Amino acid sequence: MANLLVMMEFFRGALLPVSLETLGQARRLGSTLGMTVYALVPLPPQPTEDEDITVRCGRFGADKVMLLTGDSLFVEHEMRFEQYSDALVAACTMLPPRLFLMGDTPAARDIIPRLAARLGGAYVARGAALAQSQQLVLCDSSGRHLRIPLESASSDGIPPLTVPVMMTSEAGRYDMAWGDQDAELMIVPPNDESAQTIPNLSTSKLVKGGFVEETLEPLPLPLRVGSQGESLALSSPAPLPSGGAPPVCQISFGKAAGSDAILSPWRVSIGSAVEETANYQLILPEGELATAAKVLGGLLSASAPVTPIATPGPLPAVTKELEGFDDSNEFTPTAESWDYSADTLNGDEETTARIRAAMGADGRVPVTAAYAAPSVVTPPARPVAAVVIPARPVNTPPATGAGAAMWEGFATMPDEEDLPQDEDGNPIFDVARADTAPVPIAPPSGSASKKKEGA
Amino acid sequence: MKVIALAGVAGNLAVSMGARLGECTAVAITAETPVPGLQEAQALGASQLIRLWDPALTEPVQDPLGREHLQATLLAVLCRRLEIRFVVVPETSEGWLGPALAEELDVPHVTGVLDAEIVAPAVPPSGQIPSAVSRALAMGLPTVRVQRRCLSGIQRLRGPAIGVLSVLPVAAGSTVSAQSGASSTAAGRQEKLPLIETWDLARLGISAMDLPRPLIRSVLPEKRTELTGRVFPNLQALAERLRQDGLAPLPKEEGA
Repeated sequence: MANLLVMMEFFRGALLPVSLETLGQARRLGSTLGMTVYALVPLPPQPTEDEDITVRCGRFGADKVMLLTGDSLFVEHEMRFEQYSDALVAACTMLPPRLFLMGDTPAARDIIPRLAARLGGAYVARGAALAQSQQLVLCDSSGRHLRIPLESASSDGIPPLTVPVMMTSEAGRYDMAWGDQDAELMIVPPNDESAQTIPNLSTSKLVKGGFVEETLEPLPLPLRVGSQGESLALSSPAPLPSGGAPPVCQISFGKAAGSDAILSPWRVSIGSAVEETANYQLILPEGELATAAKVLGGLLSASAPVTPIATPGPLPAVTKELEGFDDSNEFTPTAESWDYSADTLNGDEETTARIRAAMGADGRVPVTAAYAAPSVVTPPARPVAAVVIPARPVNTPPATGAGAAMWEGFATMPDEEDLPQDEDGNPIFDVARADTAPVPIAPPSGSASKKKEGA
Repeated sequence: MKVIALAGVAGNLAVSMGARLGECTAVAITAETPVPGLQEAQALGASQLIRLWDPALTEPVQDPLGREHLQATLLAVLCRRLEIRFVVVPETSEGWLGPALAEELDVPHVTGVLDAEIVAPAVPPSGQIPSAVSRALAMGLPTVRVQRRCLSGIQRLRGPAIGVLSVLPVAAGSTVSAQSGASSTAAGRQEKLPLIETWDLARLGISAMDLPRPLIRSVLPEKRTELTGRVFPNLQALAERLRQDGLAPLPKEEGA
């Protein structure tokens, strides 16, 4: 099964929305194309009080969460390839990716192209990965479809090469996905030698001792958010550093010149027409742009705490009938949130049928000390048909002799007449009264056993 | 210190920065004559001008999806021939050139560079992780301080003068100062009036077969899927999302 890896990025302790959007698209690709979605999360040196990151990534679409470990991961304030190379290469060695995604941020622009070069993969900047007609479709930043020549070249029965594709995806490109699944947790140990197991890496030495962070000067708000066409009414309590820097987010009001994707990962267009190059859009009449600039500046300058993106709760039971699906076994991909609340028969259909038979009319299994019902999700109620357990020939245990102790306490089926019956006359198996107590094991006392002990 | 800078792209920012850092060789990969950018590179202080071209490059250099891979390969070969391991390139639209070149040379790289300068090496306090500074001291290399723009601020990095810097194409004040600085420091070098050398594949020591083949191509006939951004219903929703993206005031600013 192909692996789809998504590198998650944190900012001030919270997952960036673009990472969650990218994970959501990975979920859709994984469900449609049968790929396993792994969220790569750097393991923080100190545990946080925030929600379990495994749960969070699972609810937003990850099948599994891979914790990246290593001393160098949190040495600097933001991610760079130099600090993450060991962990990422180890992860890609454990799980060779078919597709590696990361939200388009300054960190991604440092990490992803270098990782692609190291893995011998193809790199697509600000691209899109889509599932169309059960096929993975790769697009560049303009939406042009791409192909990988090496993957279509096969001759003399030699299978074509699979080239990993490393892609950054822009903010606002995809919707988030959410579900009720918790992801499985995996840990990637730091292993410098793991790179040697990938042929492409065998000739590449890992660079050590490059650039290290001295300081980080926070960008004041006017250098994080810039504007064209109208002036944002931003409060600027901090003096602007000399030299200046291009704003990370460029907001264009009206028909202002389009902003540069190289300079600004976040490009916002506010106006009466749709701007194709922008990742965020707000349609407003031309006459309201000046007011909008003032209001937006005030909202961005507000010192109110940032509202975190809430982890979605359990999904409601699906009651809507699906239309257009005659075959119940047909795979039904959907671009909306996925729902795995309804269980499906696995290969052991007989066992599943017996479990269903043991369920009550409300679809619940009687709670025992050893089996607690799930705390979050309640399976939807389903009608349970009465199950007929045919009477089987029972070997009557010997009342005396060496075998008597062995059969003592063993549950035997009552006669058919003694069983409670439903309205159709079929016997009903009573789970609550079934004798499932453990069988005491008595020491054997027969001559055969003595002979065995003496042997 | 010797530096290679890619000329003719984004206002020769890479050349001006390279000339300020050391003895700069400006390189352009183009078929055009006169070579765009190289004459200006000389004015910016480049001491050597190289035009990389070969008829075999005509077709691959026109492929937008494979161009940067090709440039990275050619520059890496040139760096090995000239024994220079510090390169300044402009940040490109794909962003592939700098990191791929660094991988070819097996050196560190920094993207989103705003400025760079030679600084006095500082010995790190004992007990810390052996840093790039100590390594630079051991190798006799000068130390470079780099300003890099990231999401939360401007990161100041320090390391040995070995690696690839991808310079953001912005007309910032630092760039202006770099140009003026380069002009003054390179005044003496301009007396030499270097000629433009043309290197072909044979002089580089490779053949057309050694050129990289593009790993990715566009589908023919061309197909497109319209990619649109997120549409927000109102200003409040847009502002909240921008704040969640990390563009809200930092805690330090909130108190101000």
